[in-house]
Amino acid sequence: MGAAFDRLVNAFAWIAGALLIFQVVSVSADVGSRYFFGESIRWVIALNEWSLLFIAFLGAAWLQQRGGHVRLDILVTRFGRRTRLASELFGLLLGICVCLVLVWQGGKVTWEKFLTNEYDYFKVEEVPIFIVLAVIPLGSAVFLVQLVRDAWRLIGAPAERRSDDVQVDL
Amino acid sequence: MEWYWSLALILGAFFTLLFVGVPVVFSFFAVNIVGMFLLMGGEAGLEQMVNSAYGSLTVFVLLPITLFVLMGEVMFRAGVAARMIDALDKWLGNLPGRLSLLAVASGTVLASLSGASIGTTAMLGATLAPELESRGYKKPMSIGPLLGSGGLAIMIPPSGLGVILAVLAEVSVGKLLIAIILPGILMAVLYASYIVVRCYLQPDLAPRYAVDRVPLGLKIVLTVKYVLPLGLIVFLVVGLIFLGIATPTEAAALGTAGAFVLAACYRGLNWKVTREALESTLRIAVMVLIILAAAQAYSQVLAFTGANRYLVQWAVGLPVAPLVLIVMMQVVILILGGFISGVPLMLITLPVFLPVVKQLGYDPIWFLVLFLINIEMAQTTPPYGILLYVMKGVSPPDTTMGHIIRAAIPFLICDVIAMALIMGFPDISLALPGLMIK
Repeated sequence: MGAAFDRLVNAFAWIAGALLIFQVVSVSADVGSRYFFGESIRWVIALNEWSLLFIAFLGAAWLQQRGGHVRLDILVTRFGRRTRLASELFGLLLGICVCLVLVWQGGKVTWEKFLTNEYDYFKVEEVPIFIVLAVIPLGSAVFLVQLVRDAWRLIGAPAERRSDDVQVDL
Repeated sequence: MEWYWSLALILGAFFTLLFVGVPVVFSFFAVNIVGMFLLMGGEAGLEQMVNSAYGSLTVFVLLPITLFVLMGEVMFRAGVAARMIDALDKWLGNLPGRLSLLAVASGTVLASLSGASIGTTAMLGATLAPELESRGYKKPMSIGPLLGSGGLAIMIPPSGLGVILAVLAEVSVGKLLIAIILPGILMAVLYASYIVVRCYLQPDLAPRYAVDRVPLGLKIVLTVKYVLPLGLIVFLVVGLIFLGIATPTEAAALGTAGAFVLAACYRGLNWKVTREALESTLRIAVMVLIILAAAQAYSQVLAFTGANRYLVQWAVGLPVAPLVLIVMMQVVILILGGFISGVPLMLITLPVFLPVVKQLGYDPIWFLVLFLINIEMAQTTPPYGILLYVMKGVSPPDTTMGHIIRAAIPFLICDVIAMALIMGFPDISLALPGLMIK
C-alpha cells in the first residue's frame, strides 16, 4: 500500500517535471510562431498559467517526502528533543487541518463548477474550469495522506525520525 | 475591532506559528483559513480562499520563477559555469586577492545566468573554496567574496525573487528586472574595490602565489569558447526584454531553451543532468509556488480588516521626513530578513509597506530595488540567512559559523553603501527602465 502511494507521489512529480519542460518548449515555440508566422499559438498562455497551479499541488506531497517545505527552526532547535518532536507534530497536525479544508472546499468548488460547466473566460473557453480546479483537492488529498503518514511515523517511532528539515529557498 | 488590533492579531498569529516551527506554507494557510472564515462570511470565505489560490498562481508573469531556476540548474550541472570560471581565471594575472576577485567576477557572470542565489553560491563555493583554501587565503578573503557574489544572483537579471516581487507589487516585471542591473553591477564593483583595498592593506589575507603565464592566444580562445557564448543567454534574457522584443516570461523561456542548447553544444547535456536539473528546480518551484498560493487570500484578509488603509493614513501623518519612513521600512525588512526567508518576507511586508510608499510619492520600482538588495542582505544575515548555511556546506571542515558570519559583514556593509547610494541617486535604479523600448 505504502509503495503504491509512493509511486503515485512520484508519478505526480514526474508530471510536474514534464510541465517544466512544456513551459520552455511551448513559450519558445509561441515566440517563434509569432515572429516567423505572425500568429500566436492559442492556449499557450492559458496552459502555462494553469501549469503553475498543477506544479504546486502535484509536487506538494513529493516535496513533503523530501522535507523541503521551508520552516523556521531557529527557536525550536534550542529546546530539547521532546520539544522539537512536539513542534514537528504540531506542524504536521496543522498541515493536516489545512489540507482537510483544501480538500473539502477545493472539492466543493470543483463540483460546483462541474455542475455549472463554467470556464475561465480570461483563458480558454473550450476547457471547463473544473478540470483545472480539480488539481487543488486532488493534490491536497495526496499531500494530506503524506502528512498523516509522517505524523503516524513520528508518533510511532519518534527516535527514528530526524527533526532537522532541509531548508531551501529561492 | 480597531485596525491596529486586527493587524497585530494577524501578524502575531502568523509569527507565532512560524516561530514554533510550523512550515511557512501551513502558517500562511492557517491564518488565511481563520481570517477568511471570520471576516468573509464563514464557509463562503473558505470557498473564496480556494478561488484565491487559483487566482494567485495562474498568472503568466509568474512563469519566469520556474524557468530562471531551471536555466541556472542546467548551466551548473552541465559544467558550463565551471568552464567559464576557468576561462576568467586566466585573465586575472597577479592582481592582489586574485582568487577573491575571480569569485566576484564569476559571481557576477553567473548571476546573469541564474535566477537563484543558492545554486550560484553552492557552485562558486564548490568550485573556488578548495582553491582559495589551498592557496592560503584567510577566511575573510575566501568565504566573504563567495557569499557576497553568490547573493548577486538575485540582483542581476534573471532574478526569480525579482519576478515574485514585481508580481506581488503589481508593477512591470520587465522594468524591475532592467532596474536591478545597475545596482547589481554597483554592488559587484563595491565588493571588488573592498577586496583590492583590504588585500593592499593586509596582504597576508590573500598571499600572492606564482601564476602560470598563459599566452594571450590561449586566453582569447578560452574566452571565445567558454565566456562569449554565455552572452547569447544574457541577450536572450536581458536584451530581448530591454529591446521590447519579448515579455519577461518569453525571454525566460528562450533563455532556458538557450541554456539547454548551449549545454548540448558543450556535450554536457545528458539524461542524468536533465533529470537532476528538473528535480532541483522542482524542489524550489513547488516550495515557492505553494506558498504563493496563499498570497492573494492573505492580502484579502489584510485588506478586509482595513489595516492597509489606516496604516497608510497613520504613516503619512507621522511627523518625520518621508525618506526616514523609507529607511525605517528597510530596517524592519532587514531585521525580519534575519529570521524569515525571501518569499514569506515579501508576502508579509509588501501589502503593508507598498501603499505607504505610493502615498508618499516614491516610484515603486525604486523602492522594490532597495527591497531586493535588502533580501539579498537577509540571505547572508544571521541567524536565518540561508546562504550562510549553504556556504557552511561547501566550506572546508574547520570553518565555523562564526568564521562565515564575520566574513560576510564587510560585504553586508558594501550592500548598505549601495542602498544609500541608490537612495541618494535614484537614477541608479531608474535610468535604465526609462530607456527601455516599449
